[in-house]
Amino acid sequence: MSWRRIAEVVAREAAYRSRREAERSLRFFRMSGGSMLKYNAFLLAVFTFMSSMIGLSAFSGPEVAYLTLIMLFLMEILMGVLFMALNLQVLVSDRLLDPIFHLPVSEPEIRRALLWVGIYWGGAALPFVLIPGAAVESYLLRDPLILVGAIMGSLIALVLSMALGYLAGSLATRYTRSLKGRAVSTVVWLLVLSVGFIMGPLMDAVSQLYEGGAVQALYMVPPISFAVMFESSGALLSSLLLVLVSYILFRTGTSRFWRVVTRGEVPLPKRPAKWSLSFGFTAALMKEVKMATRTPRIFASIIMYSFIFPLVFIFPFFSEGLPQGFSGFLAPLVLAVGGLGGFSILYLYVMEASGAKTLYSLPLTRGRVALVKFYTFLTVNMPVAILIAAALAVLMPNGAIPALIYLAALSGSALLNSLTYALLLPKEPSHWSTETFGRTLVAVLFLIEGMAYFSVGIASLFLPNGLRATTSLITLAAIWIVDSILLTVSGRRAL
Amino acid sequence: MLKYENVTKSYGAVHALRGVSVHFQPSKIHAILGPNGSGKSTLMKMAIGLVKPDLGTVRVYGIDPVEDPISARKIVGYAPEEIVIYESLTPAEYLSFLGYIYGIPKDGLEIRLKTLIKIFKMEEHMGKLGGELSHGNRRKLLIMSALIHDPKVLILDEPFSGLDPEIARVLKELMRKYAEEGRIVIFSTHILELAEAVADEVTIMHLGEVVAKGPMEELRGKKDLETYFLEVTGLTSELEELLKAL
Ligand SMILES: Nc1ncnc2c1ncn2[C@@H]1O[C@H](COP(=O)(O)OP(=O)(O)O)[C@@H](O)[C@H]1O
Ligand SMILES: [Mg+2]
Repeated sequence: MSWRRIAEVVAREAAYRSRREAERSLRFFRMSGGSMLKYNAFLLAVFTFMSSMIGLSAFSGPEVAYLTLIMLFLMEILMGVLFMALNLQVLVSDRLLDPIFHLPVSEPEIRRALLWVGIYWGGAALPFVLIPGAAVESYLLRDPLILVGAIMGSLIALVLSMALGYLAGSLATRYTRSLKGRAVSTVVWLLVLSVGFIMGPLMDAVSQLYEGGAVQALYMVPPISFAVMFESSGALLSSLLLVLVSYILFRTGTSRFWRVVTRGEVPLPKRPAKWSLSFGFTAALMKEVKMATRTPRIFASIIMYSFIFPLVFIFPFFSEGLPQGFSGFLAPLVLAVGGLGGFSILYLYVMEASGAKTLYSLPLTRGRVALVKFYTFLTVNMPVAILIAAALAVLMPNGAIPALIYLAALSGSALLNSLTYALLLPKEPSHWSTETFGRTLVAVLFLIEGMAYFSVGIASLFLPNGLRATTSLITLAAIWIVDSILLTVSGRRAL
Repeated sequence: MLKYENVTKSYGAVHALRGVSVHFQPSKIHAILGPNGSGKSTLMKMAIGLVKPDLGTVRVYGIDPVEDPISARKIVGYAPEEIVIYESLTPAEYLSFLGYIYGIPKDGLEIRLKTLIKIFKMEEHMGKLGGELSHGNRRKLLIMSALIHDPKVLILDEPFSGLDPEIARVLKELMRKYAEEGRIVIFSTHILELAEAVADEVTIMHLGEVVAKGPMEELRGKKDLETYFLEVTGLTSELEELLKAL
């Protein structure tokens, strides 16, 4: 069996477990088992657009162009790590590699197969974070070497990010009762998820280097180093070093990952486990909370999106305040932060994994599924949300209405997303994961919602101050109206 | 009563059920006997609307599981053949959750669960994660899940596979008690001896059709069940030829 075949089997198995029977209406958003073409094409389009726009910065001269190239290079690596780590976690926890365990395959074959799986799952598009921007700069600056360097840099970035992804993925344990194992894994996932936060400091460091007059030093930094490596021995050395490190990390990462996946069951605590029954809604809540905390990636995502993100987005207003003349924008801003916060209810669905199949023989309507997830979301999110709302109301001038908008947007959009997912769940008993809904569909839903909040913000620009909060309130009302419609519809449909 | 009338179901080119009409009466243990792929599981899933017939109707005490699967699932207890459980949940957590979904009041649920745990000898395993349970214990958890809401109709798909003899015996007794209480009890198997030992009524399926149905004594009266089974399913002549060719 060749490595490409292995990769195909794994990718197809992932798609098959998540939905036995593709529903026609959604086919565009879903991927056929073998080819991940559409998903990669979608990402490629988004990346190309973003990257080319950023590449236009070359109008301001080569120094700025170099800085943006470095930024794009870092972005490719960070996004790659995130992509790979998330996908590999699915491989581990869903045991997608089980079908190929008993086959006589060698380690190098596995390594290549794992690389190929990464490419199926969005890796193919990753170089387009860097290349289009570099192409634009290369054209504007009449310097073809920039493009050549960027192409080499983007390939190295791909390998490097996959390597780091495999290292992080190898820390994704199977379900275990061991608190320590789970804690370590959760922390690693938190680091992976917060990788975006280190962009800022990293770029600061690079531009300081540059402003300090050390332009030569800039040449050592990839991907610039690849463009100038035949002119400067330092650049050549730095490039070769990066290639070497990437290669070693990739080998280490994949073989470590492979060992973890094939290791089988994790050692268990020896003590006999205590147990107790719970009743009423507590029982449902316990099920959700236990599942979430026992699945480190999910737990890390929930901590990230329910606690860290809202705090990071809203707390600067308290310390710095809004700029002069922008006080009316608090309402559309908190509407967006709250609204996008509701999106993370998705994790409560995908964590169900194969256990979801058992739900299909229970007397459950889709509406009830959505509500159980929604109440769980509220229980988890409300403590921090109320804290934020209280701070808004007390610390900001005219903050009472934005405080209420925040709470209503967070809960309204969580319910909206929950109902949407519940209605999109497959008709046949299936394993729930991001594959169930289709990665493209999830991305599109997120974009649509993001655009909606963004347009409210833009519309507020042209409105008199007094009407800004009103626009947000109208948006809220719309969300809750859609909620009640979907609630009625989904209450009639069995899972 | 559980009634199937002219039920047909195809998966693409595969005809899983071809015009099956069969009634299952209360107060009896029914075995559905048939080789692999004969349509047993498909037939059973239809009772709770997990699979919808292409043609024909299914009625569970008058409820149409296609139109109203929720009501059907409230009175049917179903344990699938394929073992699927939450690997990250303990049986205690999962069964508590089921109690909430079925809306069973606290007192009743507590007594019922504790009894079921004793019957199936699960005390030691209730705090393990699903992923840590042995095959047999996973099967037991599925059967307990089907019993939690005290269903009027009990449908168990290949329930004996993976059970040790002691628990198999417990399950037989439990099925007997359920039948005596006037419920419908149905289980599927491809093992003749099991059907013979447990069932009051046997429905023999082959290639998506019911080829024979009747009380155990009647079928047994004809010849030994194995010869009869091989005859009605047309497997005797096929087997003879194959053995000749070997
Ligand atoms: N979801 C499905 N998709 C395609 N074919 C199926 C599906 N479920 C069952 N079948 C096919 O239908 C036939 C009957 O299957 P099943 O009802 O499981 O039989 P049994 O339980 O008697 O072994 C088999 O040929 C099987 O392959
Ligand atoms: Mg079967």
